[in-house]
Amino acid sequence: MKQSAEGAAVGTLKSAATRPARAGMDRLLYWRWYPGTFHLLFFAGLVVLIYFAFNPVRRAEGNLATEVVWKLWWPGLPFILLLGGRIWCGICPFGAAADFAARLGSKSAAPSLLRSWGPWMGALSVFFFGLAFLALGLEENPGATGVILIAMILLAFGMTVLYKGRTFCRYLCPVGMITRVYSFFSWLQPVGGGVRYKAVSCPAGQSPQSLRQPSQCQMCGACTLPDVSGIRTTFGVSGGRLPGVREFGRPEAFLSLLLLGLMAADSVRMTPLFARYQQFALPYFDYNYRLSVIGGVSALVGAVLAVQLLGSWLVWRQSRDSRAFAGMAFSYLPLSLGVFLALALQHLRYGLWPSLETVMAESRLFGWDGHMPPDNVYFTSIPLKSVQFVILGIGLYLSWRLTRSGLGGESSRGGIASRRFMVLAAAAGFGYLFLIPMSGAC
Amino acid sequence: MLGAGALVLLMATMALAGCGGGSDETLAADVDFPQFVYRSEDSLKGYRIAATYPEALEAVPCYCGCEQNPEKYQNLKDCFIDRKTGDFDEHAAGCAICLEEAIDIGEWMKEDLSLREIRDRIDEAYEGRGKPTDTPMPSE
Repeated sequence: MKQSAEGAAVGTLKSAATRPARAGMDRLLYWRWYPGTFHLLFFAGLVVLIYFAFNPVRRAEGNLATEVVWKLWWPGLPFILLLGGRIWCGICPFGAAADFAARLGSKSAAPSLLRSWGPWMGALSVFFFGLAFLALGLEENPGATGVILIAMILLAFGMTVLYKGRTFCRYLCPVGMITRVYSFFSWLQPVGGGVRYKAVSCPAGQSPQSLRQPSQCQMCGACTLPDVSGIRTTFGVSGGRLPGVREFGRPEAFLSLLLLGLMAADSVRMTPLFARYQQFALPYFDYNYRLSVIGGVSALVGAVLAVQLLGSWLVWRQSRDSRAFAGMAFSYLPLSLGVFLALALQHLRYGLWPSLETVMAESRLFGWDGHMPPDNVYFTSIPLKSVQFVILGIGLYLSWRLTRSGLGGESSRGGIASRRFMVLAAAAGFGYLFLIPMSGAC
Repeated sequence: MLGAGALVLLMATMALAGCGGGSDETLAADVDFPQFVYRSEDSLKGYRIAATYPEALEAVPCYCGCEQNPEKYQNLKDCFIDRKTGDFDEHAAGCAICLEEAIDIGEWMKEDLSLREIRDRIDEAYEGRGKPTDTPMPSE
């Protein structure tokens, strides 16, 4: 059951007569067993996955841990994000470890160094996470997947034992950072509960009454107690809301560009271009496959960063917009989210059934005769490509719209033109990659 | 500070990525492989093993289900090297079972096992994971 508001609550004035009606997602958030039920369920599932990661029944046909984590959960994440905002952060098993640790004794506030540099470290954690994903081939690497899952549990637990609130989720969790920056474009948005009632303190350092930085809300259930007025949610297709300076500053802008580079790297990996790159680059890396991947991804991400720094400098010169860099980076988010969704569809289209087969086979309830691989690893499915291009088109449209406003209000005509050129160039690059046949083997 | 510790851990992950993916000195490195071989780390390793120990791969059956096409696939080597043309075949680059078998063979060859012992180990490890090709038992 949810912990009582007693102690944490500053006080409540609510009575049964004034309690507002809850609907939709709010009913879930204010459910007395939220998020505990999900935490229990997902944490138990995580323990099972960790067991299978280190004790694989079989490797070649797919391991239960890698199949569930990288071929079901990971491609499902952007869809959860689009429909439910940061709801995953609320029910996440690592968050469960943090919430459990939060019950153990008193803690000090996070040190100022962590509060100042935390967002930058979070952005870097996304980069290293992406690098590890691509270089270690996590989709086919149960051992490394198990190590990462355990490390995430220990970090979430350890940091919450030391400091107040969900410090790990807020500053260092790569998944939390990704969901945070993309949550601006989610159809589900949290809003403050209003000033009518006082509310509990927030583990993400927000005021549940005003919720000035909705992207920080992890929907953890700390303020959505039956007798407390916490956050509410609104649902509707939106083109993204513009964040304030404190909600989307330089670290978040840096993260947006890192994501753009990592999405480009992941897109390349799905095409024959990746094999061509490795054929060319491996001799320069002494035939070390992983180092060669790290070199390629770092170069690609570095190139994206360099081009954007140059572009934002041009925008700044033309418009004197002090938020040129952040504004440009923000306008890329719908496009890179579109790429994330399109890649996820590629994985789900070709990986969903084999993954479910693996889950069934590992459960020992069903037989397994093996199967021949497809003759050609790279496919072009016209229906799938059509859906992917529609998603990319919507992403481009939203990015295009954001180039007009940036984050600092109306820009000069030259500034808008520069932003649009950069967005179009990025979209053209992704368009080219998605025209190439992509891997069906994930 | 724990935050810095986390960063160190993440950097260690990167270091881990750098280790272990290196070139195995015992395998053929400078073979002019076709592009598809470079698709994944396991693929490159598998084809290098196939180029180094073709006789070992020829002595063991493939369990991936390729026995459905017995004209083309009669042993594990056929999944890597076309039996008619002698060129590298793309089949194994997209087949996790072929690659896993080859990588296992690569490890066992370092133990200086005979082809018969390799065959016995493969049959024991992969039995029940798919129908094997009809591959004659090696004499030695």
